[in-house]
Amino acid sequence: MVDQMKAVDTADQSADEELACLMDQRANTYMLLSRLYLKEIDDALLHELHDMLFPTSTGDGDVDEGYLLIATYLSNLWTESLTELAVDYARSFLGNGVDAFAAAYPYESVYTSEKRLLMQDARDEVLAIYRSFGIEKGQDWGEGEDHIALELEFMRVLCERASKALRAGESDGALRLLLAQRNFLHDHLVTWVPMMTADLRRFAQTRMYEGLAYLTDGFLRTDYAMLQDILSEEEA
Amino acid sequence: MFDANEGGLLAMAKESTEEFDFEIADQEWQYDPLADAEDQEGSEQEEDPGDFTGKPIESLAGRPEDQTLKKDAKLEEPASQRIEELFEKLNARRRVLSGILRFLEAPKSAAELNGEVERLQKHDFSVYTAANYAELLEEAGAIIKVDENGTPFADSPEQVPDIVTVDGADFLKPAPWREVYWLTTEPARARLAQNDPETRFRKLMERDAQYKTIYVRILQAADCQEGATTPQLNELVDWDPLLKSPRLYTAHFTELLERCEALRWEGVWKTTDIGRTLLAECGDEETVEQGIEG
Repeated sequence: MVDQMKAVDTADQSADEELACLMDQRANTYMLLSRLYLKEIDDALLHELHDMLFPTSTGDGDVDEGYLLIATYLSNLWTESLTELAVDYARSFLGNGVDAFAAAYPYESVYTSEKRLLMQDARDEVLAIYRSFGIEKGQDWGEGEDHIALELEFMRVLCERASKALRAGESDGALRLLLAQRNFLHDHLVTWVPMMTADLRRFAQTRMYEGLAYLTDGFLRTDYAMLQDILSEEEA
Repeated sequence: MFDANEGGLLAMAKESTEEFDFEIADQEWQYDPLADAEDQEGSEQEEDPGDFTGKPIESLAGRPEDQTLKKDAKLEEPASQRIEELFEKLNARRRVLSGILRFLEAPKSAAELNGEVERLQKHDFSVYTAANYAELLEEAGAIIKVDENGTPFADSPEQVPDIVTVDGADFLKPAPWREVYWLTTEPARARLAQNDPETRFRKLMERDAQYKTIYVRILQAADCQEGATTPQLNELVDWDPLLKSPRLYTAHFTELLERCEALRWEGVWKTTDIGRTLLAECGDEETVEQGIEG
């Protein structure tokens, strides 16, 4: 009987470790996506991206398309690629400022308020959520809290906390963190990001940012579905 | 690079998992992005957004397709016209533009072009870099990207990522960086061939016949190994009664001579070989009445 219990414990630990590894992988992907939306790609990041390997068949068409576009762009780098990317970033996310439709503005408020304005209800919502998790924006962050880079960064923090909780054997805490991630995805990221990425595909002129739009769509969709699966098993 | 504790956007105020508040699961958190619109429009029936489908949905306010980026109509104009317009717009950089076009008559790498532009602008203050010039000249159809064999990039196949297998799974591995070379196009070569500074100088002398003595005086003063500084030329020219009405200064003449490639700025003004030839043509109509030292 004791042996059986030990075996069950070992199996649970193994499952938790597997899940923790998955959380780490998700955290890395959220971190990469967050960085790509945060600001222009710099020299160090470009070299790091160029040295990366990108999966060919993840099971999601958009993720595969995104990786293919990004890898193809990275296969044709030249001395002025950084400038090209900086110009495309400005064109795609900053626009010319003529109206609210001149770029893929990376703020939830823009896509969820009637007049496409910044600092609307969505910003208040996410700010309250960050605070409820004991999180404040960094000192040097001067943008609205509903910027996509910050929302993705928040998901990274939750993934890392879930990973730590799983490795510490705090299953209930980990479960609540997974629920929080699913709710945040459902209520925020997957609600508005597809609209923004649709605009990004229109404005981007490099495969890098076109690929980023596909990758973001596909990753958020599969991540949300995966969380649904995990949580439905737990709830069952 | 993506270290969670380094450069993270969010500063974690609480580190202990015991302190986390999991009220996010509470239904109070349900966020309705359409709530504002519903309040304002009152009776309008709100559609149930349903479960996330992963398909991009239309922006709430919509964005007409005709606002998508349009190709610059300028690109439809012939390259020769665009090149001429570029030279007119960057009149002050004409010497550098011509220098670049001459340099790129054979394929040169971007690094080599950087070096040449640095040399051409050694004595100038300019915000333009080699990359800026290359972009402007490429847009004007004056230069194109080619490979090391001179084959235009547009004609050479795009590099595709390699496929590598790691632990039984296939991955895309980006191909090595491309070495880009620049080459002057035919329309730009034709423009270079038509470049005739001597004829421009003669036309200038015809147009500004009354100032010929000024031009000659400047060319003579700058025709020495050490060249002539701007104050030296000012002293030599600005007093002349010819320049009183309309009031003209040395800079006006040096600029015109520079455009005719008769004078070159190298930290000091120096007469070029072309300038020397033209000076000989002008003969000794004018002699330097006041020496540089005087």
